[in-house]
Amino acid sequence: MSKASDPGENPRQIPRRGGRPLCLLSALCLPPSVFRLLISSFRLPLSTFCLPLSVLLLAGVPPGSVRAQAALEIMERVDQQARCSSRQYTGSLEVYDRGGKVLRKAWLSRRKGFGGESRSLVRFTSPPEVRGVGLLVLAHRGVPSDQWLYTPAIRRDRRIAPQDRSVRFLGTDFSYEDMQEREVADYQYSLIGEEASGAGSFFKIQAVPNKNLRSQYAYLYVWVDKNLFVVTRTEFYRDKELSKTLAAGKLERIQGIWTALELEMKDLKRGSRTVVRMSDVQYNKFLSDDLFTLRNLRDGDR
Amino acid sequence: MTLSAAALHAEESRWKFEGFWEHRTFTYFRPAETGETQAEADSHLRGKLTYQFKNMSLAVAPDLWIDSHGRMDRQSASLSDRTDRRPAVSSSELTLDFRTASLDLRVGKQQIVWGRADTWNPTDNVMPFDYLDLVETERIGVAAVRARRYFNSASLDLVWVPRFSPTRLPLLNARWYPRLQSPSALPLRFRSRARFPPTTAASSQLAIRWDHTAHGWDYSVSYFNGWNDIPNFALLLVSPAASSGGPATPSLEVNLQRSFRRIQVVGGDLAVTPAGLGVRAEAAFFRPQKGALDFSPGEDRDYLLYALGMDKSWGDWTLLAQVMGDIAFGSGGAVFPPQAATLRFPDRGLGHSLLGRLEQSTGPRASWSLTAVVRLQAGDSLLEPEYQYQLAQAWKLSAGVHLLVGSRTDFLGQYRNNSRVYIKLRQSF
Repeated sequence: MSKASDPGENPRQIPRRGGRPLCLLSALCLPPSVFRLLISSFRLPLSTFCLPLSVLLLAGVPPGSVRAQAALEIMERVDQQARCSSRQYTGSLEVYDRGGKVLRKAWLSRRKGFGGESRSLVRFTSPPEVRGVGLLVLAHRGVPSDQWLYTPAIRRDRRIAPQDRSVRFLGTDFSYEDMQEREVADYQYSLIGEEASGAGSFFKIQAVPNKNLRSQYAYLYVWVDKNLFVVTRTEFYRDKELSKTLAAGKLERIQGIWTALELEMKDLKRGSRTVVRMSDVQYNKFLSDDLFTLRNLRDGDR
Repeated sequence: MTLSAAALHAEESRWKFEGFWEHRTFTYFRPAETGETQAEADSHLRGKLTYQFKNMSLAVAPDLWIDSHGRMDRQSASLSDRTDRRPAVSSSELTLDFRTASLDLRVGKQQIVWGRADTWNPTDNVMPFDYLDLVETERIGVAAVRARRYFNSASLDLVWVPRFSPTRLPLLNARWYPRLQSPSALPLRFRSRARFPPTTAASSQLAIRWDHTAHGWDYSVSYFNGWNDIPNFALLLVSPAASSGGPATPSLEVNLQRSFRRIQVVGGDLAVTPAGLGVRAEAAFFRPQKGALDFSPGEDRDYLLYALGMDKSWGDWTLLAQVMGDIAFGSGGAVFPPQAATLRFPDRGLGHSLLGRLEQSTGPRASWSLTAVVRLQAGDSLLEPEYQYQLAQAWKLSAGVHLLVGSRTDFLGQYRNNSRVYIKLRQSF
């Protein structure tokens, strides 16, 4: 593909509405999905968003429908602010076990495209035990993604089932589901309310995954910053039990996109937590298609 | 100008060094009939140095081995890998790579791994094994030229192996050598020598593989025309063993000659992930050179090896099950007829077997697994429970048991005296 034709040369394309990908937990890569959930920017003043909600309430629309419509619009805003044609960053993570002992890992993440039509490659760079391990994900809208895991020690790439969503990704507290790209339409939303704290004002939204998503979670609670339209906290429920929490920190606006440079995922059942830190974040950079091939997965980004 | 060019070259070049050191100790439950000690230890140091320059790279991966029980040849440093013992100093890789937009060319001693089944791959015939320990097997790199041409979602591999490398078998008269019953009351003592194929153009090996990914399916078809790296055994002489001074246990000395059959293999493999399952299949049809090279005329029969497996992961758990089969065509005799099953190696000894593995991650640092190989007709088996713990960033500790059970006339059961516990300490760098 020529450079001129690459989407990376057309930054911040206006996203289509309806059926577009969300990243409910989008792409940290390590968790691409979580990463996308927590990045956002805003273009419209908040009042333009709040007006329809007020109008609907005055018009006597049933509160349940109002809450659902409002929540959907908020999540679409979150998704819209996070859009980019490509993203690259280096990440490091610390996995703390119940006793507080820590394991550190680092990786390079690249993603091209967005949501339902995207390609991503995560390559671990340390520790030596997992150096070179790579995960290639080719996401297709409406059909399961293709995923391969390459393990240098056995020199094999292995197609893995995308539905293995509850499986931990390389010993972290992130599951493969947490890393998958999602569509806005994959969830049913409801606006639970608004909360304020010293950290700011937030919408609290419940997101229930559609059955065809086969999610490990029964529902999620998501806190969206009312000013930035960035998800700053997520709670993951299995049945009615709180299973995990995800918190975002160190928000920075990079190339117009609000980006959480620090994430903390806690697994309440296991008593472990994973802290992710991102650096060298670049959006809308030209990334060759050759980076997202089995050849490159095996060859270790030569 | 020269300095600028040198600086530019330095920026474009890239050195990389990585590797590991692993120390293993094994304690056997029972003494060996061959008189070896019940406690063994070995250490393996492997490094890999890669130098990349533009579209070329050079890699060398030296291996250093030491052990307590004489399976390593401390006197030799070897690249040929034809020695009975594992060289204390060798190199598993020594390659020069050249890469273009759609072609990879690799020349030198290299690792070529084919197949999509787990653990047991009928289409994986280019690179031989090291069976000095039949449970802890290693691979032996081959001197080869490999060209891989890419076509969008497909690739074509062409491999030429000019010099034959055999699979390294268990040492004669040692723990892991197949147990053959003596025709008399006297125990057998083996001697063996190998007759390797000549290193000529006509004797070289060729392999080709077409690999394709489409619509959620990964599959390949392959063809191999070379040598079976597992030898056939020709019985040269059986005689009372002469003792070399001092009182010795009377025994029969069996002189075997290892020779190698030309073989053609047509195979294929497949991986697909329906409904959250990983499904993998692999099969290969083997056509050995006809004619009696040995005293086992049945060994030249055509045969088919296949594997069909599924894996499923959920939460912290992974389950894998795979059936492995072996169908021989035609008729023929067998080596030492009552115990044909014992003179086998894993390539065919694990035909008619079920492989199962259950693994659970119990935390960021720890996991355990249970692996079982059960031979379906004879029932002899290998069970391996293992616990792994990440001691520190680069240090991992593994402890487990190799439990071998079954009749002494069956492939796995013959090694039931080799059940053992082990501890492995590994540092990666």
